[in-house]
Amino acid sequence: MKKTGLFLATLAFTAGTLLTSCSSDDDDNNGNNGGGNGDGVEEELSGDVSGTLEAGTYTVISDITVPEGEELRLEPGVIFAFDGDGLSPETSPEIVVRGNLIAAGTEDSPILFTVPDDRRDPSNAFEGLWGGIQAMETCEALVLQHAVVEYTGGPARQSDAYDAGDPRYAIHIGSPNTVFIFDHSTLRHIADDGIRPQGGGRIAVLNSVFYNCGETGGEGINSKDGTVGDVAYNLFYGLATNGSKHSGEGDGVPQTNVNTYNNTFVNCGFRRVKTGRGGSINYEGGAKGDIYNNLVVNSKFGVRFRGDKLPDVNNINYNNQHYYATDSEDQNNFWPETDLDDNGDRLTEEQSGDIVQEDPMFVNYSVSTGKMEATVNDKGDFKLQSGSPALGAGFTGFSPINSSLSAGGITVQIPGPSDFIGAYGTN
Amino acid sequence: MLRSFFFCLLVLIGTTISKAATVKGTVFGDDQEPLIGATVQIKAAEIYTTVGLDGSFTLKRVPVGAHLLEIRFVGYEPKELQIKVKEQNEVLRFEWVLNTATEMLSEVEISEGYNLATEAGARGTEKNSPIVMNTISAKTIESSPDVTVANVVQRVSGLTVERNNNGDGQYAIVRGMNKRYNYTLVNGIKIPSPDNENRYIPLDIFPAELLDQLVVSKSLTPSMEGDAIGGVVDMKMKDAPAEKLVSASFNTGYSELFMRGPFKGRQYDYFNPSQVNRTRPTELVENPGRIPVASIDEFTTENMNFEKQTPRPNLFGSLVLGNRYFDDRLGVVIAGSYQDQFRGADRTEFGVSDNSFGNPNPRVSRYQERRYSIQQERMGFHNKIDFKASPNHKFSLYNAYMRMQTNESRVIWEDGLRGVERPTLENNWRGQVNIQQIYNSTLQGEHKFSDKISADWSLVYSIAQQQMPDNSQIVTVSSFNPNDNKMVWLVEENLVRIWEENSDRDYAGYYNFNFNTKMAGQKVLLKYGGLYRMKSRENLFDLYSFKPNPGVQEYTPYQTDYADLTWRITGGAGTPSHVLNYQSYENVLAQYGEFRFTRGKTHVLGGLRAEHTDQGFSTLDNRIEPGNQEYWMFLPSLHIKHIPTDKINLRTSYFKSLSRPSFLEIIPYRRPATEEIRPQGGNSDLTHVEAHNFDARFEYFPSSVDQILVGVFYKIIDNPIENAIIPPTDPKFPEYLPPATTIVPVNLETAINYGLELDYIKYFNKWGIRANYTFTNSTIESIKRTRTEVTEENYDQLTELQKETIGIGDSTLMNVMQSRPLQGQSRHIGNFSLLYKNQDVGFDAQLSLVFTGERIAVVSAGLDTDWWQRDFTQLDFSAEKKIGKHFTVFCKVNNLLNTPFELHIKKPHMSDFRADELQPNSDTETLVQRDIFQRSYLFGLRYKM
Repeated sequence: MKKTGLFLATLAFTAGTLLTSCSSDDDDNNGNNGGGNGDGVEEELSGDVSGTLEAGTYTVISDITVPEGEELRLEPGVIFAFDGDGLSPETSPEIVVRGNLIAAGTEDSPILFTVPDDRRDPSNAFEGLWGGIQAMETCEALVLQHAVVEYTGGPARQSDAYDAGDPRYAIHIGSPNTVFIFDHSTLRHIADDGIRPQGGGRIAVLNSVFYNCGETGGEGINSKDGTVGDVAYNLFYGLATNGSKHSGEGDGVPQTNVNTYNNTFVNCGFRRVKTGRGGSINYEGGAKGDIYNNLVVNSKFGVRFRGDKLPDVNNINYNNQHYYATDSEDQNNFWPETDLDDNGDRLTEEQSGDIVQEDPMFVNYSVSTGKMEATVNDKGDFKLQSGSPALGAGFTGFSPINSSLSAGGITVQIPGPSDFIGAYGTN
Repeated sequence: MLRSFFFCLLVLIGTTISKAATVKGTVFGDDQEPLIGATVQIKAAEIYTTVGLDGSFTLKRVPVGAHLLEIRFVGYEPKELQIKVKEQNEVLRFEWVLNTATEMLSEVEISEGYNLATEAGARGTEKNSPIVMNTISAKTIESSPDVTVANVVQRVSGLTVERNNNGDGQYAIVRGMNKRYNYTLVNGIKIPSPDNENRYIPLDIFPAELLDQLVVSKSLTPSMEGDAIGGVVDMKMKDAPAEKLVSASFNTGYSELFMRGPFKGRQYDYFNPSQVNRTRPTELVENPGRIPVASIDEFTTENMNFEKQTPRPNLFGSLVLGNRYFDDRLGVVIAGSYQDQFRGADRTEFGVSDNSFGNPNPRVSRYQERRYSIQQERMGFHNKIDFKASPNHKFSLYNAYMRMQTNESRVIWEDGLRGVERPTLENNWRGQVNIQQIYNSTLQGEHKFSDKISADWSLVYSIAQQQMPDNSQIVTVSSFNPNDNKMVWLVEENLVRIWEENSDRDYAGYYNFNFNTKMAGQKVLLKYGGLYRMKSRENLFDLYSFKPNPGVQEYTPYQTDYADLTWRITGGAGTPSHVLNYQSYENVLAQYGEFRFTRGKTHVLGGLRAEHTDQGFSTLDNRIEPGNQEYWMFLPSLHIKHIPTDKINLRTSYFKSLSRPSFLEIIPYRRPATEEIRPQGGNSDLTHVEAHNFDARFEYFPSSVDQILVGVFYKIIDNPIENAIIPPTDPKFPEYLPPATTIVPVNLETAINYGLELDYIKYFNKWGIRANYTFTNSTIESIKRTRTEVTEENYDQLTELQKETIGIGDSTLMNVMQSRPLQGQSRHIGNFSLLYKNQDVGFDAQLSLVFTGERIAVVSAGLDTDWWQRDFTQLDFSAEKKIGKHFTVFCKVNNLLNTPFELHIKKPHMSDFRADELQPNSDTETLVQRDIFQRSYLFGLRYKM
């Protein structure tokens, strides 16, 4: 007979209840988000939207679309409040981007993609109240800088990306031609995947924070065929499955080629209960790239190459990761035992530059903290104390895939690798 | 088991060893029919025999002396003869001819002069038909091992079947032409399909017992609907008899799959179909002004309560009542059939992807053991009333209702073929109810206005429906408790429950005029007619999504009862705007002119048919605009039959025909990729298929029951519809498809299909052979993808985007053209039946073999990775024994050899230490699926007045 497994009972819904304390960074506090502040424009949106929107609160009452060939530019302080209940595709509106969407906030005045204040509560973390940012094939530029995307993942309509009823991805990219910049931004309280380049894209995912994404499955970034770019200097905390997952078999589009370097992964992979699933960094199905300088703490797996759907192992370089786990089970899976080669040997193994089972010495986070907790008090907590073994252990002998990316008049320089492991170093 | 049947066969046949004289001979009618079943007796000596299949008889143990011999046969004048036996061991030979009874010489036309239900009637239909056709009679069906029309169809030369989950035939493939290229008639009237996407009719819904005759036409005349390229299956249902008819049968049986003990069968996975909610949950909710949203209370978990059971025996029953009244002016037949069957299959299945990075071979990604337990409840009723208002005016009303309910439980055990100590396992339970119904009502009139002019008409209403309520599955996955490292089973994250319904409604009117006239001194029959049919089709798809609540719920492995699972609903509004909520219509207007004449020994039939099609759709998915297709097709045909002697036909024919896209195919919907299948979709650019069909056939009928047919056919098929990938570089690539390879139905380049058919029927006194063989060869070319190294030669094939990241020496997927047979076409198919008929003891037996050569079951997107169905040989047995005047006992055994059904890829799979140990022939091929259905047995009693 059925019993509820107590050992995992807490994991599914811990996220919301544990988000208790306030914090200094862009966070969940209602009405205190820097942008908007209730004194800008207040407007309802539906249908086609383009042009420039100034700071203020825009309530999205049904799907909005940026038409093909047009641009929607959001000024710092814009709040998009999607009026959704997550019960059906029709009642969880989305923003469809057929043209370009440029959402460049500032550190003090970020741009929010969220729900109305009455629903903006971490207890709704996985309710998927609205439908996300759905960039279609014709989108050329999708830029989110100093932006927050939260409480999305509502049920989808049937399309080439979703089966009916599937949770929608927070950010979907439909074409390898799309330039996607996600910089200094936050993705949190998402029902399923955060960033999903389903049709590929030229991407830069930098200096951002992903936490509490995926109720029982879902990745931070989950890229498919034709994705080319870099994932660097991000914090992935308390994700259901992986932080940085890449796949693609070069089927008519460029082979997926993504570098994952200088990221910090904490408490990832445990809400995906199935054996062999979930972890931190996952490459499969012909994807390639360089994987260096990642700090993986208390996560289900370390760097994983999927055994039954191999990545382009000859063109993946990986080294200089720093692994730590309190649990012996997780220690055994820094190099996952469920992914084996033809001979039954593990596909990934310890590399010369790896640091294994040494406390990375976070500024304000104990590595013995329960791994089911999915809250981030302050990303600064994951900076390293001087004396951390991760300092000076990074590898710098490679370059980002793209040196810079430009879209919609915004150019980001892709920072190269650092000589420390993890996203932050000491400052 | 097999042995006991042959033993019972031997006992039943019995043998008689005689030292007395023997009288041998033949009995034919004056119409040269062998009078099968005529009695030959010497009353005084109580010696009795019946005439065999070839018209011969043998009367043994005739004592020395003079005897009065009587020969009797219904419809013929009896004969009495004096014979004299002079000595023992003498053999006397006679050839007798009986005259047709004069009262039978009525005004019936020759083409109606056969009792369709008999074998001779079937041969007569074939012989006299102006076109190429094959027929099977009710008598043949009755004594065959076949239970549904789909079983029967595979006995026809050139026909094979596609099987359903329990191994039974379901769809007909005629001459290697996919099921989409054929249509199905009931008494010459086209019926709609209960299928949710397609036009073709699942033939397993029709109980075989309701048929008088099954006619498969492989060529079309102008008066026939033009949308068959393979052929037409026409079910001639039981007609009002010439005299009072009461027949009934009752039988029972069992599948060896569920026989326990020495048979090592397994139990049946039972769920209670009455616990399945037929009503969609949002229909139960009132939410005025807003979209109705169902809560968890609108769903039951009782349908997830599976129990292992031993099924009750199968039950089959049928009843036919018929009579004529008012001087035979009113004829009535009522027939009903009920079948309740428990079937199943044990399947081994591998998840196979046609593309694996860095390796040209398919990749095996999972291993599944699937267990199907299927209850099929079939009901069929039909009723025909014909009324002769005057000798020149006849009316008939036909009503038929068929219903099949399938309650299928499916259990899957899956191994993700990864860890050894920490296996990735999955267990999936699904209980599914599927109800299909077809109703047809046809009012017909036949009018003879003069010797020269006659007409007939039909008014038709038909509806076909399918309901699949609350299709739910429950999935549990292996997980490891990090505290004690023990494996536990947890409920999988996303679960869905789906309600599907569709209905297809036809209103049609047919009319035909016949003119007997003379042109240039030549008698000519001119026909003119047409039809108009309005079809409306509705499809409903309603899906609800759930997550387990709490998210972690633990079960024990091998658990069958999931009724206490608790859920949280994540999509409670269902999917009212899903693309599969669509309405289609199709209005077909057809007009034709046809001529027939006979010059000397040559019959000529020809003419022209014009069909206008207006097919369209609208869907509740407002992203998809309604669309339609409208076109005229002109379909000429010419059939020439030359009759050098009355036993030989030489036929040649040409006809043009079309095939329309299915209702769903032209809707530009999309489905996302799964782990193993590329994204799929519809294609609004899809057009109809046109075909030029050539036939030639030599037919030799040595007697009315024997035949030798040799035919050849050649088909040129323009714009054939096949599923294929369209890569983004293809200029034909429709704008609305995503820039990745997607599998859609497309019109491919012209395909050629040709072949040879042989059909042989021969009866010796007590033995008969029916055999046929068909060779078919077809070729079609389509794009396939293959992993290729980029060289200087093929660099230009790369897209600009690819060129940014791929250089010479890299490997990527590229297009190649591959030719292959049409999907579903076997190069060799054959049938062989050995019949034994001993009328002295009233015993019949039949051993039937069907061979279906290998063929492509699933067209894959990758080069050389199509799924082939392996050669399949099925052996069935049936026997019956007459008891007394009215009763017959019979038995049918299906699938004597317990032949496995296998799908494989003709390429070794990518080496993998787990797959290598599970795949039987790792070095040469990749096994995809293997089904075991087991033998099934049926015993019964038939009553005929």
